Amino acid sequence: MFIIKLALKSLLNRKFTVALTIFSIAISITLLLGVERIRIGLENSFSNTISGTDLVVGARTGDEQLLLSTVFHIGMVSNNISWHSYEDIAANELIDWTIPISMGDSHEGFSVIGTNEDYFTHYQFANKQHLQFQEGKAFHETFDAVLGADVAASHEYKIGDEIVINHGSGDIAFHDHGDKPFHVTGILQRTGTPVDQTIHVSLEGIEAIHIDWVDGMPDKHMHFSAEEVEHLHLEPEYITAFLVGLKNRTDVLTVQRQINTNKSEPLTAVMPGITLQRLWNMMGKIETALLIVSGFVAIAGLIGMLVALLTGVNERRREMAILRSVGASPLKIFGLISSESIVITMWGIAMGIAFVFLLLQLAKPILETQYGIYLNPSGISLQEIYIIGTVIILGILIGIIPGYKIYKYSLLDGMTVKM
Amino acid sequence: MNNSIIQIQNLKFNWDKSKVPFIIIPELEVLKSEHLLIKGDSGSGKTTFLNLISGVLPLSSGEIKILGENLVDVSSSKRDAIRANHMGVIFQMFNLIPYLSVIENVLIPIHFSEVKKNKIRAKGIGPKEEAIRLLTELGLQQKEIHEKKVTELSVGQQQRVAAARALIGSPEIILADEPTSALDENNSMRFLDLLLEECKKNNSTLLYVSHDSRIHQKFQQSISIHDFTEDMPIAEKTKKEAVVCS
Ligand SMILES: Nc1ncnc2c1ncn2[C@@H]1O[C@H](COP(=O)(O)OP(=O)(O)OP(=O)(O)O)[C@@H](O)[C@H]1O
Ligand SMILES: [Mg+2]
Repeated sequence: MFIIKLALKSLLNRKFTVALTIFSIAISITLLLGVERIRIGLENSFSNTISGTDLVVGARTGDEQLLLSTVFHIGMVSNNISWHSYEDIAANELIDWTIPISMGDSHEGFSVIGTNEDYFTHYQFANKQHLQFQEGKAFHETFDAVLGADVAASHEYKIGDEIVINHGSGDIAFHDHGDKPFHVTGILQRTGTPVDQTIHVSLEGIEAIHIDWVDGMPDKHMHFSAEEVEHLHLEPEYITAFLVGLKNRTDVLTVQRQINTNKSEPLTAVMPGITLQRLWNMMGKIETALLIVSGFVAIAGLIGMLVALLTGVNERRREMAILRSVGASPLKIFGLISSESIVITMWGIAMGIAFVFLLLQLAKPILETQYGIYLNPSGISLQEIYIIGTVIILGILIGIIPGYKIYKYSLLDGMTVKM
Repeated sequence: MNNSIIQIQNLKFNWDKSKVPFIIIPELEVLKSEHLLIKGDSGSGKTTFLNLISGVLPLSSGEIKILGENLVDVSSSKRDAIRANHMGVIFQMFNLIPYLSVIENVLIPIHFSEVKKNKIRAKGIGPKEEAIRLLTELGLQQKEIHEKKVTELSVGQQQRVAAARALIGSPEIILADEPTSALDENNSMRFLDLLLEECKKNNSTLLYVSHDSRIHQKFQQSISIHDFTEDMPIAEKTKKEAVVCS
């Protein structure tokens, strides 16, 4: 049809402006979808800070508090779990594996946790990824330590380096365990989770550095050297928390109830995924802020398009007067201008989508390794379809504005276009 | 007898309907292949008058019949169709669509009117040959001009392309709104002669707006649309308006 041919020729004639307009729309779409992808990625990564773990168990406390302290090392639980209770529960036949965790010490602001080698086999994060070693291996000896990626990077620690653990958390140490230094045996690969900021040692190691301490202070009367302590019985009396993996995920509620109603001591078992989601929702402001930013980006893009289209309107009144004179109805002229705008919007959107996928593909390795943000690898989400749909509708509505202006002019402009 | 192409009765027009009309034409008839000169001072309403005839502007009172069809009675899309099928228009300037070639510009009306297309077909040629024929008759015979960008033409050449566009498909009525005002005297005369000649060949009726009184004798009929000032009594206005002479 002639009108369509005309629209295309006119677009071609203004290819520079048209390309810029398409580009500006593409950029806003890219930002809008990119921000949305990253937002979802952040949420997913947060919810999957720990994954594959069915229950996190600690002494009786609030769900969020337990999770914040065990997974994020934020705050402390005041009570411990006795080793006996732990062993009792771990023997439950519904349970596949457990990872004991003992916390309370730190090194240069990084938390130190005591655990066992199961940690490296069963601990999972993100999409059920296991921990991996950049260098070295898990701890075997009492004074071996495995560092998270950030810990190693911050002081350029290498395998074999010695580190001294401080008693308590925080940067300022009142007492340290300088008499019993640890040796780095392994450095973990970056996970983008709090594991990166953690030093892992064996439970025996934690026990060994505290065996000659009383009430959080070195005992004035008793002292064992690092060599002597190796020969002592180093089974801990208490641990802070433990992670549970079930043989069958469907048993999770049963096991949770069993633990929560445990007779020998009051315990709390939480499902980490649900609690993490709840924590994320508590931080919902981040999400709202990101959404608002994306919204403004889109509005800016569409206003840019409107400006570009309206600048064209005056230049094109002459053209419209000519078309009117050969019998084109105002409605046809409206259609011509609007369809041009719509073509521009569609191209902008298509290009924006292409950009976003390209950029995310390029950014993916960096986001994953540096920030622990795992983007949804699958196609377009429903949310994104909504966004694209909204932009298409807004684009069409905005495309109609210059069409309508020209329509109104074309009802009046006849033989002369007064400009 | 049905030689009448345009019939006007009691035409009154003002942009603001509440004000006294500035175009008042009690009666005017333009016959087939007649050439009418429309004179008047700047701002008197000549362009507006052509817009009323072409049906771009709806009229507020009176009637205009084009080929027997009363523009007051028909819908705006019907007015668009009458214009597309039976009229050709030349503006003062900016007649051409900048992103189309010379030939494409001449062919625009064909895309809006089956009537015009069929008239060319009846001659046994295609629209493109007809466009080339018209351009050649108007003195634009060089092949390279036909495919040129219209912005690379001189103003005089552009106006001749516009004339070819108005003439293609042999419409009954040609409306020309001061098409030579941007041309020098020699070119103006040449342009007018070419246009008159083509109109004669087609038996087209020509309505030609100009304020150049020297071309008066080339037309069978002329009217002047006077510039009335707001404070003149209506009685005097009606006396002075639309003087039809022959
Ligand atoms: N779109 C419009 N809306 C309102 N008034 C208009 C409009 N176009 C023209 N006018 C007024 O109508 C009157 C007639 O204008 P018109 O363009 O018909 O004059 P003209 O005789 O063609 O003048 P010129 O010889 O300068 O082309 C003028 O007073 C002008 O101010
Ligand atoms: Mg005028």
